[in-house]
Amino acid sequence: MNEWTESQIYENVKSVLVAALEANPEAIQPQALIITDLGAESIDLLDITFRLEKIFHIKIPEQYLSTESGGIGEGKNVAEILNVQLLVDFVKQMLKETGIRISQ
Amino acid sequence: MNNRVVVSGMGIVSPYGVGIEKFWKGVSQGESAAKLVTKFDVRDYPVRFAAEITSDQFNPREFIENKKSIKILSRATQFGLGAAEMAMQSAGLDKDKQDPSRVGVTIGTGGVGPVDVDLFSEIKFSRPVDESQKSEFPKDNIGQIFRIVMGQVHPLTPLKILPNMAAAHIAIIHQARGSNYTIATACTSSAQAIGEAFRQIQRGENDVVITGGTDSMVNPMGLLGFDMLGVLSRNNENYRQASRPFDRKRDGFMLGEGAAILILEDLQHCLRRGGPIYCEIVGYAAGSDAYRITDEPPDGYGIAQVMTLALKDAAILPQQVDYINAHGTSTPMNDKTETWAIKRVFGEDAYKVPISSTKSMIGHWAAACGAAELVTCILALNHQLLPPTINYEEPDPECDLDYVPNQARAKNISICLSNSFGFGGQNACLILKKFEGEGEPHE
Repeated sequence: MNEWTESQIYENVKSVLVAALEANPEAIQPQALIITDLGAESIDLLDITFRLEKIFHIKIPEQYLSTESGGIGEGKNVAEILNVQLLVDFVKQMLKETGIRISQ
Repeated sequence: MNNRVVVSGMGIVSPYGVGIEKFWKGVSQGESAAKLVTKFDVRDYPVRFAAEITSDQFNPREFIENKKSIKILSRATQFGLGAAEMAMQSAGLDKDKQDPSRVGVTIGTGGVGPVDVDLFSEIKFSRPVDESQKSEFPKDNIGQIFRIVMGQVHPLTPLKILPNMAAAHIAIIHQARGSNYTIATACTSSAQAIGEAFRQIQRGENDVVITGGTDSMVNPMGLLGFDMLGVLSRNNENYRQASRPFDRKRDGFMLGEGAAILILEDLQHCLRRGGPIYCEIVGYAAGSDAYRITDEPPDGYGIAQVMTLALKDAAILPQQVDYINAHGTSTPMNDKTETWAIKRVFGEDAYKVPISSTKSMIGHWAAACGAAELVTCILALNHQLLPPTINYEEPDPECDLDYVPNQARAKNISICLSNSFGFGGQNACLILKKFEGEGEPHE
């Protein structure tokens, strides 16, 4: 895929979270915290990484999605800041870096 | 003085379906659980049947509350968690009312962990951005082959393969913070697990132990691998008659799969909470042939030794035993050797004690067989009915005892003995007794 729309990205991230966390689709809201609200543990973040890489054809740096600080949280408490929107934004950024166009 | 140990709960996932009721109906009516394998394509396999659990018979989602954990559960672990849930329910144990530090788990599982069909199938998935796939497949370089293959499988796959996962998940689900063991002694695993759980309660280490076994060798590796060792029956045409322990025409075992989990409990603890009592465990012994990996010594000394020691442990004389649930695999060697060993221990009484092999019906559950057969003994005790050895048609001069041929038999029984042996030469024997004493036996 050379081009993704914003809503395609959001829906695919949502489907990854539903599958990996067996979450109720209605619980996947932009502000929902993936660890605190949706119950992700370390192994689920590995699972989410694997699924995102497959769907979006991206390579996420190892340990970037982790319950430990240092990855996506940029030193902050991941449990308190990693929400669905942050993950969607991260995927968008990864897509842009690989030269994929994102449209509305 | 050791604590007395009772069985206060049981759960089973079997090729008859889910639950004790279906299992008992199958084994007491002498029904073969054999099926042509549907789970994977067995065309051109030398063996195309097994006592398989089909997807319409067991759905892990009905038993496992933490749905997202299912992705890391092997097939065997899923069976084990289902059986454990049923066992805890039948025991009426409320995890919030127990001291969690005195609830243990000891489970018998397969050697290197089950290799599921879905685990292999994951390899077809690929990580398209993985550089390794752009290079040529490195033949004859196992290190590099694995790097590529493992790069394609789901990253949580290693958590499916670890042999201790059944025991670990059971502890998490049921808040069992006591000692947690996994026993992997091939087909002796679950009998030894139950025996060691028995000892833990006797010694006062735990009040309750969730024990038993689970295994699923009905997969390409199991079906082809056991056939390569020459131990499976290839009777594809009459597969329901393939498993025929003690029969003269027996030619190997039928693979099966499943989980049987028991709740062992300190008698006083069980009485205090008014829990059900299915039977008492009174004797156990384990030992090793220390002979050859898959051959049994012709005079069956290792088997005789564990039966003798278990009887001694139970302070029971051979003539008091009312029923023997044999290991009875249906291989030419096992059934002959087990027969000799029984004669060695029981003398002339060997001809009086009824013996049957549950494997004639449910096949060989490998690591889980001992637990399934102990459940069979407990049900036999509670129903006063001996399940048969089916497909018994032609007596073998070397197997000349009473194998309860083809039909269940009503009998007043109080004491049962169950044998389990495994590749490697490990042997175990467990002795059960109908519960007598203060408190009400469970009906």
